[in-house]
Amino acid sequence: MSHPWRDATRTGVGRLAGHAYVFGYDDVAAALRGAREGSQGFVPLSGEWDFRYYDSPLRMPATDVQAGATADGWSAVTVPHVWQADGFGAWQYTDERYAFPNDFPAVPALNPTGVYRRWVRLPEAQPGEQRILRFDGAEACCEVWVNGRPVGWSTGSRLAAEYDITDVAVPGDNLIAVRLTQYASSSYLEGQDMWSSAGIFRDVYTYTRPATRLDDVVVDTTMDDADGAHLAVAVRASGAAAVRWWVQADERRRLLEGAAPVVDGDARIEVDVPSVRWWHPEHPELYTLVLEPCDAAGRVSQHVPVRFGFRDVRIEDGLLLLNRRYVELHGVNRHDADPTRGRAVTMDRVRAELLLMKRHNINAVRTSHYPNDPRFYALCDELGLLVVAETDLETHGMEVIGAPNRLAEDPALEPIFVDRIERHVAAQRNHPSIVAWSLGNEAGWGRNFAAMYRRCKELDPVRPVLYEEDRDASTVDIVSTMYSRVSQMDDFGRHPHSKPRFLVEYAHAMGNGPGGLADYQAVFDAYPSIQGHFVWEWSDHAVDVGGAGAPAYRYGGDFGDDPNNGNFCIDGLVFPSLEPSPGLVEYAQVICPVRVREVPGSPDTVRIVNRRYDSDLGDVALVVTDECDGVPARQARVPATAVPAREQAELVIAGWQDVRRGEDVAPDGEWHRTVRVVVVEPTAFSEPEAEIGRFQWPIASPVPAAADVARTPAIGGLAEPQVVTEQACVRVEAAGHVWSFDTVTGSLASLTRDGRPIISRGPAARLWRPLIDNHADVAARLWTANLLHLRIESCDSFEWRRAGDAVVVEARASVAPPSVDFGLRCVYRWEIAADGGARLDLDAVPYGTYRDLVPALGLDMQVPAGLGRIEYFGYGPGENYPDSRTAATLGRYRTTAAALATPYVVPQDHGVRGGTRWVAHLDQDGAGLLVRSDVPLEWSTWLHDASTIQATRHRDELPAPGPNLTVNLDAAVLGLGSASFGAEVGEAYRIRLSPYRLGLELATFGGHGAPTLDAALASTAGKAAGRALEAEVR
Amino acid sequence: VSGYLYASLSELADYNAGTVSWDRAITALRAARPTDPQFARSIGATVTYWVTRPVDMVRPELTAHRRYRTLLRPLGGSVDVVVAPIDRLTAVSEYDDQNDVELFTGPGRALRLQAGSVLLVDLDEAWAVVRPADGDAGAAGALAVVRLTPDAEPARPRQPSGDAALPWGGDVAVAS
Repeated sequence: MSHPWRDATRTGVGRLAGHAYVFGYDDVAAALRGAREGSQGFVPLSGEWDFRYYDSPLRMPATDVQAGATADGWSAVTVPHVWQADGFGAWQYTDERYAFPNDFPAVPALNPTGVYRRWVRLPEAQPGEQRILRFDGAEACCEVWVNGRPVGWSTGSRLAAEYDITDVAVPGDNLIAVRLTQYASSSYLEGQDMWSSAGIFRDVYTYTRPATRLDDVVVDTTMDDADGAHLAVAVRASGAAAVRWWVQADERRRLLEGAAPVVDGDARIEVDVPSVRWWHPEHPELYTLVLEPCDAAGRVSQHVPVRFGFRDVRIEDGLLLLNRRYVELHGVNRHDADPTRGRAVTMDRVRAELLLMKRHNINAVRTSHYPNDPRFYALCDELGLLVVAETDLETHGMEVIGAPNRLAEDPALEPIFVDRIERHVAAQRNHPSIVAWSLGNEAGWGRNFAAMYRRCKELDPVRPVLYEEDRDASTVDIVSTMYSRVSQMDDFGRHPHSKPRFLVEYAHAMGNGPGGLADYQAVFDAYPSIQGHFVWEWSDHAVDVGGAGAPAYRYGGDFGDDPNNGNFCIDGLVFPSLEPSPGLVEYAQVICPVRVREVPGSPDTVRIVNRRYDSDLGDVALVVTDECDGVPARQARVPATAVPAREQAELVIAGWQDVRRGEDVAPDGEWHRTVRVVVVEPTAFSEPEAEIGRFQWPIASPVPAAADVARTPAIGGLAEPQVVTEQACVRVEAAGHVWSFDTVTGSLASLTRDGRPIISRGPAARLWRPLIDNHADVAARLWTANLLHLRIESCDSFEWRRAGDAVVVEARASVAPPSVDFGLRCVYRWEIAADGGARLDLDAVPYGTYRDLVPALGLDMQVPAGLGRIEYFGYGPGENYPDSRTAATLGRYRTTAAALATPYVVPQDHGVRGGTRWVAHLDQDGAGLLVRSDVPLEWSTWLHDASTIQATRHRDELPAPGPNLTVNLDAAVLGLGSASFGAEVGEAYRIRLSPYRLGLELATFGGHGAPTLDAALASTAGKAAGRALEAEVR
Repeated sequence: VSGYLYASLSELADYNAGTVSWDRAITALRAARPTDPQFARSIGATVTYWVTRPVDMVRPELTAHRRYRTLLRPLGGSVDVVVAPIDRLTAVSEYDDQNDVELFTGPGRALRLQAGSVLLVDLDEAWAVVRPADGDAGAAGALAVVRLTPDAEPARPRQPSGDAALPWGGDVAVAS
């Protein structure tokens, strides 16, 4: 027996042909407002529906869709939704596999099914008027009844479906009923990497079209050689003799107007416009074309607004041109994903996402891997985002069985494939933001794609088409690849194709990462032929099961779903809450459209490079700050200057103002110049003075060196440290400090000052940090088998002695994983001074044959959780790793241990701040521990220890923070890479098991009678300088 | 001895086919034609390949890669190359992550690659195209270059193939 959900030969019955997403209005004012709710006959049907859930469509009684259905057994749901979010059925996440047997076109008999009913009151239809029922998105096979009469069905979950219900609707109450199956034969073509879910997940509504009406409109604009515009509009109309039209430039001004006769249902408008404001993502200027179909008597039946932009897209000499100028797409891949609503995203969330993209310098979005809500494109038009508009087509599950091209090559499926691009292009082709069509994603290659391409070109001869599986662009207009490594992109750039190239997916942003964005960008920037790159992906797709409480994000496998791909869906630049991840901050800097550089030999000048494509820098100012040891000393503002697009200029810095915090700057301190690039005026997506990038470089001290720099005098008269030996313990006591060593392990057990704990567990060498998702592959190959996460310490010797007025403690220890024949031989040399401060020199030398990658070379220690306020001098303010540090600048930052806990859904290594010269942990009274390093550290402080972080699979399952913080002081940490799917860590950011040394000055500060942090800094700096001098003398 | 030499694509396949990456590399070599446009193509993220003129590949240093193995196959005419283990060479450039290139000078094994043969240069080796071997005819020839992901299994040992590669001078020094 044939059922719609098993019909692989058609995509629907009774569904109307696709057309431009426009509405008619009764009056001009409403047309210019363009709110669809005010359009002719518009009745929203989103909201509460009756809902029944079955395990098979065949279990639905016929009465469910009839007016007389019993009220028993129905639940209320709010559409749009996916029913899994309302507790019906189960979530399932798969990346590549189908969640059902791969036996095309068969569909499991047990096929989750939802039946929806809703009454709607409709007015009496006017003569000749059409009433349309529209679904913007329903997954997967959607059958529709009105007043018990079937009106049609449709597949293509993320393609709109419209039905003419004029003949079945009645004045008064009407029953709309829907049967929706989760799976259909079409599901084989919708195997995207995302949660499997179902429901009416976009809006449902009905509207009318009068007897004299516009049926479709296609707007095309081109730029002539003199920057003039040609506007071409093709109109399809019913019952009309002519179409009057005008172009509204702004609230008061009409740019153009005219009328065109309708002949055989078609009208055409062609007009040259010498001067227009061109649409560009940097200045998204929009106009409104208003079309008014008229009958033979000249009566206007509706006013149909079309928001459009004058925009020219073409490929010339192998390059993609926007308005006949070069452009690059700095983009992201975006899925519809909401932690509580699944794919049923609200437009408020969509808008928030697009604003966030704009604030982070992103200028392009690929709608991976399906058409979005029709309003999405209008938002991109309005905000200025270039769109690679992909249609709803992926057959990844076929690749899993080794037959990636099976469906693409099946001639019987050509209409099915073609339908998916036809409906998409017909609906969206008037949007200036769309610069390219995508035929789908990971669906093999074959004749059906060639047919899609041809149909796409029939509908839109102008825009280029891409599809990654056409690897050499034998058919499509843009050649594209995924996850090509940096050096591969360099190969592509050196040996360029005759067509523009996009990297449609790269930099897999799973968990902590991606690293290496700057390396990719350097290659993109080097070759004009590489014109687009899209990070995978924009947002984590988690399901929040926390209810009204704190978020509790879940991923594949957490719902008993099998098969699943675990947390492979937690791979976004923004967390589920839309909080930007450190990866997004890094990306924003890497693609910053303004670059600022020093001018060698000219300290009062900076070079500014305008990397925009069509705008000058008349809106951008520079805030220049010279900093000494991370503290601002003086500041100047370089006002906006209209540097043209793609050009650069040298700007003079003048008007320095002293911004010292009261203390004198040290001429011999470490000086840097930090330049913040700000957009002065507010924009549609940003506040005034919004920072779009920052740059920094070292400078010579602008402060004249004093003839005789006063030094803090050494504190004299202190008693020499006392040493107390007990069973398995040596205590060194000095100036209220008690350094307690465990002579069995050789390690510092604790430090107290005046009885207050300062160090809970002393520093110990280790090779491990909690695994990040992007290191899973290397961990599987190298680390797990070698048990690198386990640390066994063995003390080989422990001794202490007096050295002048200090006490030296030296422990020799081995640190190694169990069962393997390699590890570290460590020497810990402590020198404890009479003032209670100490210096630790760690000398770690590997033994055994292992010399491959390790996560870190350094040590960890613990301090009481009460020391949770933190101040440091290093890279910040955000998390940064060696291959993800472009956005970070050296500075003196204040933070807290809690704020350092980056909220990765899956707990993993986090929080590193590189280049750390010193870090201080403070209690609420400002007392604490200062650690100053001889060489810049990769420092981080965690609320939990490494094993707890490693063992916890969901952030909300982390136990309450314990009594201690874990402080990591590393000589080096491994870069992030993005090898959870893609690029390995670059060679420059790899660390292998090798000898390392750390030299640390430890001092307490604050509290009664003790030095302040600044005094402790001066003191430890003096000691460090003294040691440097000693080394020099030696 | 450095460089893996295979008399033919079939021989390369006999020893190495059977994994995704190697199969892709073999597919790439099989697809390469002397008349191909000279743009780089890829198969997945594991194989990149292009066809070029040997004369355009000549450079004074030996090139080594840390991330991608290199396969060279003359498609017409023969090509003289030098290949050497990098631990016998002197580095003359920093390794560059952006192009996966590190340059060396020093002595190497000189080989004449006949049309149709395949030379595999592993990650611990460096290579240089010295010249097309056939004079003007060779200069007009074509060379298929394949870069193969490090994820590929190491090449399996191949039997010495005296027919494919003709030493034309034993060890030679490149730009030393």
